[in-house]
Order: sequence, then C-alpha cells, then structure tokens
Amino acid sequence: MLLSMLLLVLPHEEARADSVDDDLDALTPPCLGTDSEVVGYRKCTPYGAWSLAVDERAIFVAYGMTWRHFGDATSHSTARSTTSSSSTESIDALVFVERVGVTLSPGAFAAFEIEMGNFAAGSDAESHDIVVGGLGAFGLRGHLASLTLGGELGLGYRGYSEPHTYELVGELVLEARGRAEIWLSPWFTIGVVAGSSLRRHGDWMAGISLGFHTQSYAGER
Amino acid sequence: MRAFLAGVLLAGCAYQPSSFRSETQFLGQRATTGCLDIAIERRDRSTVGEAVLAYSFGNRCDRPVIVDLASATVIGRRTDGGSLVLHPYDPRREIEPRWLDGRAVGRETLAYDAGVTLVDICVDAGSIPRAPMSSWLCFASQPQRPEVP
Repeated sequence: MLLSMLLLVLPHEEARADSVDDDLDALTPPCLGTDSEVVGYRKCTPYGAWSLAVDERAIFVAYGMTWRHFGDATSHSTARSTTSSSSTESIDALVFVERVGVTLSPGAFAAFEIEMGNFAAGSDAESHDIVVGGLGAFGLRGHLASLTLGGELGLGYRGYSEPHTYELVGELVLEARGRAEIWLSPWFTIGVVAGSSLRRHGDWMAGISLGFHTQSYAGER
Repeated sequence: MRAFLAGVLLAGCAYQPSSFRSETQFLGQRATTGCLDIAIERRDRSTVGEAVLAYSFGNRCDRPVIVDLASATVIGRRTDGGSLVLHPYDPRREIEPRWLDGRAVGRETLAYDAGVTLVDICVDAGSIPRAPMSSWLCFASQPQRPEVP
C-alpha cells in the first residue's frame, strides 16, 4: 500500500520540477501530491479562481412561499370556500416557488419560476388537488442602500386540479408584481413580493423568498 | 452551476473594508489602494531559487475591481546596486487581469525568477488595481535555508 502510494507520488514530484514539459504533465496524475500554491507549479487550482463569479453573467436563484388568492373560484367548485367579506366565492392556495433569473443590464432582469402547491381549503389526506405553474418575468429594479425595490410583469401558465379528481385545468397567467429585498450580505437576500392578476379580477398573491446571487448586489453597483 | 455554488458559498462572507481578515489570511505588509486592501508576503523558496510573493486582496467596494497581477510593477535590486523589472513565472500564460467581485477576497502566489540574487524586491501595490497613485511595498531578501542533501 505504502509502496503504491510512493510510486504514484514520485513521478509527480519529478514532473513538478519541470512543469513546462507537456509529456511529463500528461503522465502525471493531476492534483495528486501537489502542495505548491505558486502559479506555474500548482496544478489543481487555475489562476484567478477567485474571479469566477464576475466572469459570468449575474444569476440569482430564489426559493420562497407564496399565498395565492383566487377571487372567483367558480372553476374550482369542490375546493372553494366562501369569504365573509365578499359575495363571490374565493379560494386560496399555498405554493412553493423556485425562481432563477439573470441580470440583463444594470436595473433590468429576466427570470423564470416554477411553483407547486395545493389549495388551502378543501384538502385532506385523500385529496389530489395540486396547483402548478410556470412563469417568465421581466422587471426593473433599483437599489437604495441595503434595500432593492422593483416591479415586474410575468406571463405564464398555471394548472389546477381539484381535491378529488386528477383532471388538470389550466389557464394563461398575466401578473404585475412589486418586490422588495433586503441584502443580508452582498450575495444573499430576503424579500417579499405582492402582485395582482391582470386577467382575473380579484386574484392576488403575496409571498416571501430567500435569494442567492452569484455576483455581489446582483452585479448592479 | 459553478457560479451558483460559488454564490452560495460566498453568501454571508463579505469582506469588511480595512479588516485584512477573512477566510483568506492576509499575511505580510499591507496597503490600501483604490478599492483594494492588499497584503503581500515574500516567501522565497530555497528549492526553486526564485523570489516568491504571496498576494492577498480584498475588495473594499460593492462593485467589481480589476486585479492586474500580470502587469503589476515589481522591481528587484541586485547586490551591485542595480535594479531590474521582474515578471512573474507563467509557463501556461494564465496570469491575466481579472475582476474581483465586490466585497470578495482573493489570493495568488507568484514566483519571479531574476536569474541573480536580489537584495530586495519592491512592489507598487497601486499598480495592481491600476490606481493612479503609487504605493510601494519593499521586501528584504530572506535568509536561505540550507538544502537537504
């Protein structure tokens, strides 16, 4: 065992003394026994690994929970509940959201998100109801100290199934939203979102999210 | 994916200006120039016979800053009093200007082969972020450890 380790290490030590020799490099197990941190001698970490995030476009990923309120629940007859403040029947849903976005230019971004959850009322252990959706968004945002405020327009598709059926009913979604985020660190945000449907009267949403950014302050400072 | 993982790892680890402290050790002489806090330590290696400088740097600003170690001004002084401009050993041509993200840190160790014994080495830290003002740090030669026969 010890001998085999030595055999693996020794050829490498010889190659390190002449790192420009491509033939020897090709025979050298990469990274094995490389204790040098000097550029030109080290093999495992390329020069400038610390600048990786800036070389690429600023990307963010957010995870959150959103409460959705559907003002007119006529299409969700078995899952509906009746609100006391309105004569129309409404229904609520709680969905988990994953969102991936990219900074297009300072102050402008595009994002895509998927959501999945179920209706808050009418569900039980036997229920099969589900709310799923996918949505693309374009927005503008600005920074004020540790606060970022923005607005966006989203277009996508959302499907529903009722508690005791497997049938998925879908519809086009068009939403206007406002967002506020606080930077807990240059790469980490916590935020809130609120929005309203532009297609269905009385539909609104509100949620919270945690965001991770590949560049400090979304590459916008 | 790599960028995302890097972002996750960096979350919560922002460099604090003038702290010269992070998960990267800032060893050696220190200078602040432009948006960069820089620490440089001389670490000559007796087995290689080159002058070796370890650079640690942190971005004081929220925006990215250039870190140009390729064209940083490094001057060596010979025993006869003459001086020469030193260039880093770079057989793979990988040393180039790179951007350091806002409030991020970095570290590189470069070797300089002058071909002669150097009494001391001076680095213009201001040339690293291409600042208009020079900020010279000088390092005397270190005593060489005897080679193991």
